[in-house]
Amino acid sequence: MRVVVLFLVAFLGIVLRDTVFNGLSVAGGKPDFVLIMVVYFAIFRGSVQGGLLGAALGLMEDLMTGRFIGINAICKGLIGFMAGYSERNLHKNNFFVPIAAVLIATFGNAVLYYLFSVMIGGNVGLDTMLFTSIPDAVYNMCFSPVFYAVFYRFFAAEAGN
Amino acid sequence: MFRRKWVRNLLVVAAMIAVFLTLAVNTVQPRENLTFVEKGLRIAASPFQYGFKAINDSVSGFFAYFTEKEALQQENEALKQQLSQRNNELTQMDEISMENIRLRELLNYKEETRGQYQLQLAGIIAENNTNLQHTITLDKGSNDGVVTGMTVLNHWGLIGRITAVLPDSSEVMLLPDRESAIGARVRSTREVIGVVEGDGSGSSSLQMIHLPHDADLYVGDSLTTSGLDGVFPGGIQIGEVTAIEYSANGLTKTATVKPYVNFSRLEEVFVLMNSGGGAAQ
Repeated sequence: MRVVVLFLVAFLGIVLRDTVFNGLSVAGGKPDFVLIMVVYFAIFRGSVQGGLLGAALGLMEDLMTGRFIGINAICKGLIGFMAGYSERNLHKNNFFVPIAAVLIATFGNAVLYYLFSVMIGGNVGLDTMLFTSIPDAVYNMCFSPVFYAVFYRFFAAEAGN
Repeated sequence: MFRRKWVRNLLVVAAMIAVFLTLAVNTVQPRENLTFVEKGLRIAASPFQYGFKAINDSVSGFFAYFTEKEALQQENEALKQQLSQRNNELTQMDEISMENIRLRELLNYKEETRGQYQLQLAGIIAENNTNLQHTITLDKGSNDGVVTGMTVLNHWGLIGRITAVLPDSSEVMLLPDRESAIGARVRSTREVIGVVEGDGSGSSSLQMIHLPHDADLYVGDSLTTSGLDGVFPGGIQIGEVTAIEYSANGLTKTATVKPYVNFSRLEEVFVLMNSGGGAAQ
């Protein structure tokens, strides 16, 4: 049930990003709700589940908005997988942990997107990619406390915290 | 155990990358048709997109109100400044144009009276018009040859006479001043009538008092200086009779004279250098 809700929220998050946040875009930056959800899910559920959810939500993002299918699935899957490795090492009660995790994940996602785009023949510059991800990161960090509070409420107990 | 799990995870990740990368490579070229999954997701998203778009438009409109208002205010300020600048330029051009007309009229007058009068152009630098006195200060003084008693006039007619001289300025007592008195004659009949003086009302109108009841003077008569007072040369226009009033006993009458010179619009005048003290020298 929770997974279905996660997919629905991600679905709305993608639509919101491409509609409402187009008008609220700051320096070209928009929040990546899917990325935030994948990171927090992985933090509480570990790398395997984080990677699977990341790949699934990334694939949904590709199917909804992408021209070529699979890049977001790979990037979000890897981000979920790597974020999941921090499951046992993070102090999940610390307020700054989720914000820092989302910041790192945003830039990590940008680098991965660049790498796999180049592999399939894309011509996006890494510097451009990183530069444009600064406002994305700021936006993501602004939303991260809200998402973290929700994920903490529903997934922390199960994770044994 | 841990290592086996790690290798398993790595293999899963590698497989995932391989599958999705293959998918990406195969979809990198523009496709004619979307897959049914893509279509389904996008169709499901469209009502939300329309709804959120409406919200987006209103939010954008809300922020646009402030940004456009600020831009309009800035533009408004810039235009106001521009308008003010243009108005200043226009006023200056107007001033120059009017000065040009005045100077041309004065020049014409100077040309017309070349053999008769030796005229010195002077600008007015101060005015003192009260009930008690009507005077102006000129920007020409003794350094320019101006001496006390000289006649001041312009193309309209008589203005007054120099009453005080400083090196670079001089004071002129105007006709409407209560101390001013000019011997006058009717221009058409050449008849010497009497003395035109300020009426002391504070206005620029003049008067002739204690005229014999049978003096040959009528409304509309034009008066000029008689030249008999020893102060002003003869033949300079003074003004026009606008009203005549008889005294109660009917023995005398008083004439109101409107000067030809508009004293409120004086800006440049002529000093008649061969008059008064100048003529004596």
